[in-house]
Amino acid sequence: MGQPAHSDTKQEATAYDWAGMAGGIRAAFSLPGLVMACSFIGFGALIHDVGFPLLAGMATTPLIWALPGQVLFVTMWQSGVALPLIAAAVSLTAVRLLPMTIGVLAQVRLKQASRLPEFLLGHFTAVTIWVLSLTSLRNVPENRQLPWLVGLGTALMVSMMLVVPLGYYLADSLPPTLAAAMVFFTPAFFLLSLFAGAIWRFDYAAIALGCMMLPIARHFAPDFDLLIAGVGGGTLAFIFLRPRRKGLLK
Amino acid sequence: MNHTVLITAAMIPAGFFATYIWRALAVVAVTRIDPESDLLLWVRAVSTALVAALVMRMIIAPSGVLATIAVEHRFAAVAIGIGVFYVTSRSTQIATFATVIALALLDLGLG
Repeated sequence: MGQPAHSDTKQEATAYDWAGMAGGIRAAFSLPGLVMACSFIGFGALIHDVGFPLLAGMATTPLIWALPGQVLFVTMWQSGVALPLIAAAVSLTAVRLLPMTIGVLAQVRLKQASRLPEFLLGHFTAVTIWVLSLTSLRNVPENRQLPWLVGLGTALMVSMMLVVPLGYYLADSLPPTLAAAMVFFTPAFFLLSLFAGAIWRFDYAAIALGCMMLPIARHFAPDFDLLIAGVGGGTLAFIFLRPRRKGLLK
Repeated sequence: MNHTVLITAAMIPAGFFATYIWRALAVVAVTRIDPESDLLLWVRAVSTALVAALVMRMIIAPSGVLATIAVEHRFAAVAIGIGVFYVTSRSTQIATFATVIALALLDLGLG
């Protein structure tokens, strides 16, 4: 019963307090959540636009849970690209989730606790969760942080899956200008998130090179345009502008 | 319906596993990997360039309804969005809305 007389304020907790989920669920209904919903409404309009089936489009949300990968899967499938190539491209955009997930986990995991919940949080980790984990966790106690993010991720995933049909059906009834604007949410949000996540000069170089190499790659090898521009542009940025001053990621 | 089942089945290897593998590796690696190792920095650059290329493809070669908007307007809207991003001290949210609204206004006003 007795508390240690001089308990460290940072005394390490050994188990997660899942009551923390409630706060995360509430946080899903916020401005970042709204922007995300607009992007997913746009995604619904996009799948309608390219002729992808609605239910399969909705299924990309809980299965992939990263909008760039979802858009790639849908557009490449519709252009009849072979499945292994689709898998390679989707997987390449998802590599960005590796450092992102490490960053999020390093911040919220308890060293003494079970590791299984980390695999669950890993599945929820994507740009919005990463941004919110950097900005919204300050007042959440340590043993509630992981549950907080799991709550946020669950609420966001369910909500986003449910707004996809909204865009899908609106796309048909809206005037073309508005429908196009909805589809445009996705590239706009992607590009601005890249700028928001950029830290080093080589991040900006990777953005610029990826953009500039796409039309060239498209001209010579339309089936491989994304892979060539992505791997080529990223590698060039890495070779010439790799950061020397580190310690900025965490 | 059959088409939906087929696509969803294809999505499990080419979507779910293709994506989740990196998240699972992160969970395994978090206790020992340095997020700023050269390998991960290269990965960061490639995934950034790949998403940038995807954005570029949606701008220069859109399918469907986006193709009804003039290409200059698509580029102008993006430029306005980037401008708003820096004017609002890097607010992704405001700048995203600004980009979309700019696209609609350009199309209605000048189209």
